[in-house]
Amino acid sequence: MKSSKYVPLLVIGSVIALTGCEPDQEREVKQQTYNSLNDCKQDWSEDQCTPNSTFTSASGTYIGPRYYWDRGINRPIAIANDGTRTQLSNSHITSEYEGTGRSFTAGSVRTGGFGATAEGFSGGG
Amino acid sequence: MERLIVDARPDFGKRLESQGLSFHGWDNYWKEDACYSFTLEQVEEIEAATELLYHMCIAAMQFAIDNNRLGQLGIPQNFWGAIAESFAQNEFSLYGRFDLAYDGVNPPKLLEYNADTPTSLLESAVCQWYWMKDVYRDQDQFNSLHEKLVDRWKLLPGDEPIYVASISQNEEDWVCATYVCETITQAGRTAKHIYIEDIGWHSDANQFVDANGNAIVNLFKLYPWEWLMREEFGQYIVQSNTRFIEPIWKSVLSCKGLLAILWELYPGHPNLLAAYFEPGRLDAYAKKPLYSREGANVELINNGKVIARDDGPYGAEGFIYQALCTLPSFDNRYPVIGSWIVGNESAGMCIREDVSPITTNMSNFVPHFFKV
Repeated sequence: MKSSKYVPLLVIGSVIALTGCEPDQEREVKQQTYNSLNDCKQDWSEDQCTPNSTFTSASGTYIGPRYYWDRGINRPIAIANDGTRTQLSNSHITSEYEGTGRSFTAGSVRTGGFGATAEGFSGGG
Repeated sequence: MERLIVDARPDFGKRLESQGLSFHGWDNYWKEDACYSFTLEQVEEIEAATELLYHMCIAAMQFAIDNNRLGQLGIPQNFWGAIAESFAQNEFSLYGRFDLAYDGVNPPKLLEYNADTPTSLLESAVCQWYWMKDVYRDQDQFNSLHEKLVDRWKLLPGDEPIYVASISQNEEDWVCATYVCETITQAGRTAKHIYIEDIGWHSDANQFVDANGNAIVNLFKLYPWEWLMREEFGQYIVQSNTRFIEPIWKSVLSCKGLLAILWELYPGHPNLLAAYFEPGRLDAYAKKPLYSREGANVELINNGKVIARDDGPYGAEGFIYQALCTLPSFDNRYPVIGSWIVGNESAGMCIREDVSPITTNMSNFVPHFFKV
């Protein structure tokens, strides 16, 4: 049986980009979801807030950029879907951000919950 | 209906590989030194039977819901409501394949309905079509599968990408999934392949996601419902916003218990074989797990004697007992007709033949044509 595993959200998609710079350090990548644009603007500039249209269960909500905290420059680094990184100088997010009642972290994705039964057999017939 | 011995194209392997059928040589899966020919009348008989059987299956599906029979079909209770709702909403379905016993003379008999994850798609839609164009260019083939698949995808609501999931480490499934992606693309939609093991569950967004955290709005899964329901992420299916293709109501039709319900509703129908949930009502029968694939765990029994069997991992959910249908023999081969349906329209056929009367994943794919 394949066991499921908890993985930080962006490590799945961006591990190559991250390890290309610091191969021995895995950074905690975060993304926040907000109940409104005003909430989002408390942490990010408006152009960094995106309507959360992909998650249909959370329509009307907003998401900030995917980011990790660079302790060297003490700023967040945004990560695009293609793995490119951009230093964010106009955000209000802090390194201690844990997610509060007005928003929640979007950093918990689990994989491996499908596929265990196949054990080499085709899924087709 | 005839089985003909013909010359294989000298470069057939290269041609098949260029069409994407990479595994054509595994156990000589693709076999073109023989083929089957049909008359137009025979093809029309198969076509009509297929559409009739589909409508009978839909009626059986409604009957199963209305009479609380889903438990008898081995479906966990926590999915019954979602199945009823999905069926009531006529949630989008792409395709299915009826496996029929047919000898060209007597009416086709339903052996089983692969309503959820039928494969052999590329070879049915594409490879045998090009074979016919090369070998019998003046004849025709019962095959509108590709066009109908493309047209069907155009009816899927919305414009979000369609994820196509198959298991990793299985080339046959990967080839089938890749072909499905092709039909999606030709329909003007975006297709993205994903391995079923890589699908993520985003607990905050209440959504299945891909490896980049993007929501999976549409998921074509080459992975059977009976497995999805019982795996760890099965608990999230009902609450998720993902549209599964095939939809969850197809889980009922892919259960072989449907064969017993069909017989209950249509006893004596010329396209059905007697089938029961209870043992002891037939002297000659096929014992089939409610859920199994490619002949696994099927036993053929005649007067208490096992005359053929195929091993496998299935049977935990129970069995049905279907009257033994002696497949017609052509040159000591047993062909089974795979009759495709897209939406509710008959869309062509394929033929798998075997030296054993149980069709398995080792059976040969043999092309066909009909005379014009």
